[in-house]
Amino acid sequence: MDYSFTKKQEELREKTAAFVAREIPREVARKVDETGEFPHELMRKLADEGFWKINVPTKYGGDGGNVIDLMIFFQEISRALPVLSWTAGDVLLYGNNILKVNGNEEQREKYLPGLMKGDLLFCFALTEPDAGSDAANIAMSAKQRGGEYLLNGNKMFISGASVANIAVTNTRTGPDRYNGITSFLVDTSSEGYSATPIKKLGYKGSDTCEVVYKDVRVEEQDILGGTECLNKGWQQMMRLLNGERLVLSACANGISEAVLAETISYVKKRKKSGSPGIKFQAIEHKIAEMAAQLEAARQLSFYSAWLMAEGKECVRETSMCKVFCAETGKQIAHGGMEITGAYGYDMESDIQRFFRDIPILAIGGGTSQIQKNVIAKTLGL
Amino acid sequence: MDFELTRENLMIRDAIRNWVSKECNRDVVGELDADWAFPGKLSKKLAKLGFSGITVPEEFDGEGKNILGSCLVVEEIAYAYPALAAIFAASAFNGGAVIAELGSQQQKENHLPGISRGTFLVALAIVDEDSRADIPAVKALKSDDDFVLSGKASNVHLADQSKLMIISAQTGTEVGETTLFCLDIAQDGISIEPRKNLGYRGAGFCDVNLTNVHVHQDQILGGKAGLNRGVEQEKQIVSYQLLANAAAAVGIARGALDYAIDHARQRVQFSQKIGSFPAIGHKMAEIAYRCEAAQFMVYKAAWQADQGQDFSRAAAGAKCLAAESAVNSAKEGLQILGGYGYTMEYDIQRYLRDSMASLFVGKTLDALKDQISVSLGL
Ligand SMILES: Cc1cc2nc3c(=O)[nH]c(=O)nc-3n(C[C@H](O)[C@H](O)[C@H](O)COP(=O)(O)OP(=O)(O)OC[C@H]3O[C@@H](n4cnc5c(N)ncnc54)[C@H](O)[C@@H]3O)c2cc1C
Repeated sequence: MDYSFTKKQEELREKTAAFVAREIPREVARKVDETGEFPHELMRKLADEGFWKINVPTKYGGDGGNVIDLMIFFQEISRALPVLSWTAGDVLLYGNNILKVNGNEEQREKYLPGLMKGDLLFCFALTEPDAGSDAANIAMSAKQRGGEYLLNGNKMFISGASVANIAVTNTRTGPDRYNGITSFLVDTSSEGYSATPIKKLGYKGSDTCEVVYKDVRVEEQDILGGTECLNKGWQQMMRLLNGERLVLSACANGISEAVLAETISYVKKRKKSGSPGIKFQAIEHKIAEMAAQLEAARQLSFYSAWLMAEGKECVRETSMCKVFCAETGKQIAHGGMEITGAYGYDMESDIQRFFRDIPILAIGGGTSQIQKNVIAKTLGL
Repeated sequence: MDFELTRENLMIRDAIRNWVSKECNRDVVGELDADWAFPGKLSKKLAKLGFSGITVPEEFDGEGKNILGSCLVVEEIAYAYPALAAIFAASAFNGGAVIAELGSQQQKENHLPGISRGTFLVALAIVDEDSRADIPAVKALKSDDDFVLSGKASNVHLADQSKLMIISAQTGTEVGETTLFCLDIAQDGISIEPRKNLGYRGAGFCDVNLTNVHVHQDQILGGKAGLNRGVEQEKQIVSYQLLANAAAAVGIARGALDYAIDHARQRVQFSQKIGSFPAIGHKMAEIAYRCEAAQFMVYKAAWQADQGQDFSRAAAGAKCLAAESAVNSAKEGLQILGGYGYTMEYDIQRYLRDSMASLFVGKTLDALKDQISVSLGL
């Protein structure tokens, strides 16, 4: 049993923490939340500091990191500005990782250099108005016409869709529920593609959009993984799920850590300045529970990540991890709000910001209910 | 035991429900919330409905004290628009109920008719951040028959929209030597800074600064006899305040529940309505019975108040359960709406933001649990 990070991972953690301390003071985080604008500037800085290489194989000039490295990065960033970890996902997950796992050689060589330099952003378009939890129900049509395809339909809640250069778009190319889905690398400057950002409760600045495709033309070699991957979209997606769940768990844990730290510092101050005779045990016990829950969430996350990094079967664990970390995060944010009361309720406090951010982690990337369905299935039910 | 509302209260409930469904539709409320706007027009319209005097004795142009009826009004408004419910409560509870019960003859004559006629909001600044009233942050220095008040009160709900503020100030050297004063908000030396909050946008909490505010002793709540009786009076006031908060929380809980039910009945995934998945159906069942339990606790506490019984314990319990129920209903409702629940276009996020205030307005749940445990002899 060895719970420690490798030296390289420890360095990544320190480097990310240093970036956060230097570049994301409270005011900067608050401003992104207030304006709801995509954090281009911070993304540029992350690119310049080489963060977009974390998970690119060394063969392509990257750092060769695995899911644990990604989690370290996502968790540290989420402690200050959760939405920045998502926009980073437009490079690290929807770009680097999708190409690494499902792209072909040509596509990797075409896009990875630009992604690493910070010149390219990807987004991942799966959800549709009628296909949320039931993702295999997607209907966006892709009709073949000569050597190209014509895409028509609507996508919903696609993060990064109006700023991305490439939209990894999942379409219906055959009648079979699972074996009739194809994933295309769509150039978003194509005619007929239009994305409109949606106003949200939290994770403001993620550029989550409603997207309309009207006769958008895509070359057949832009099928993710090449033409032999026609109708293989679902299988390709399945390969991304464990990693996605773990990374989202890391986001939840980062938020939980931040809320806990804020809450503790608030209570410490209250203990000093508060009126005499107030008993703090009830609050202390709440905080103790929050801390214990968070510790359990972190351990489950890194254990599941270790399984994945070792190439072991881990669907059950990553699903457990996703639901546990997200629901724990919601409880901790609730606890923080309750304990800090009027202070936390003020728009100037960070606790309410984290409280607005956290609920989506129990929804996106497979809702808590869907994770439980998966867990039950792996238990033979 | 009779669980029916009286004919009069049934009529009140139906009338306000009807009005809310017409006037507080989701577009109107959503826009006010998005603009952080005080619903001035709506509250004027509401005043015309004739419920303003619902807590005021007939001799002061009111309808006669009807606490259960006013809880119904608050609940029904909060069902659609919690901020407007708070505005009504600031007039009916903080104003009507409190002044009718604790005010001097002169204060009653001065304020109650106005409250009966329309919107006359009264802000309460009586508990500190620890939910305690015996150590107020505001100090009152005596000079002849007058007092001079200085200090800062935080998180005073609707202070910026109120005409009157009942504020607790330290009038002696000992802990507990406090007095409640009725201040005209326009008085010299009072400055009000509205805060921006997660919820109750446009009808939120304020910081109130007092610098050498001159107060005549007639402005003591209950007149001269009220000197140093602040802690005792505060108990009664807080009970009313808790009851109003609890009724609002029940309204929020029900509003969020119905909103989620509506969605769960329509939304289809995996070829079935999501409400038919037990994961969703059971969640809603739990929310529904918690809501109902909280509602009955509020009604019982209100009934006790109308009977002239001590309702402080009942109000404290009702407030705790109703607050938890409101937050739970909104939070689970958001989960049931999935991605849509996370967008500003759907109302469930507003219910969630508003519901969170019920955890601390009036008194925090921890302070209430302290109080309840003491009443259990602990
Ligand atoms: C901010 C944000 C960013 C997003 N980013 C992206 C993105 O970049 N790309 C993308 O493709 N998608 C994205 N999504 C979409 C997200 O993945 C979906 O919202 C999510 O999968 C849930 O789908 P839905 O919203 O349609 O909810 P629904 O599927 O309608 O679910 C509603 C409720 O029903 C429950 N439910 C559904 N089916 C079952 C069942 N079988 N058993 C029990 N309960 C069930 C759910 O758990 C939920 O509580 C994003 C969403 C948001 C809000």
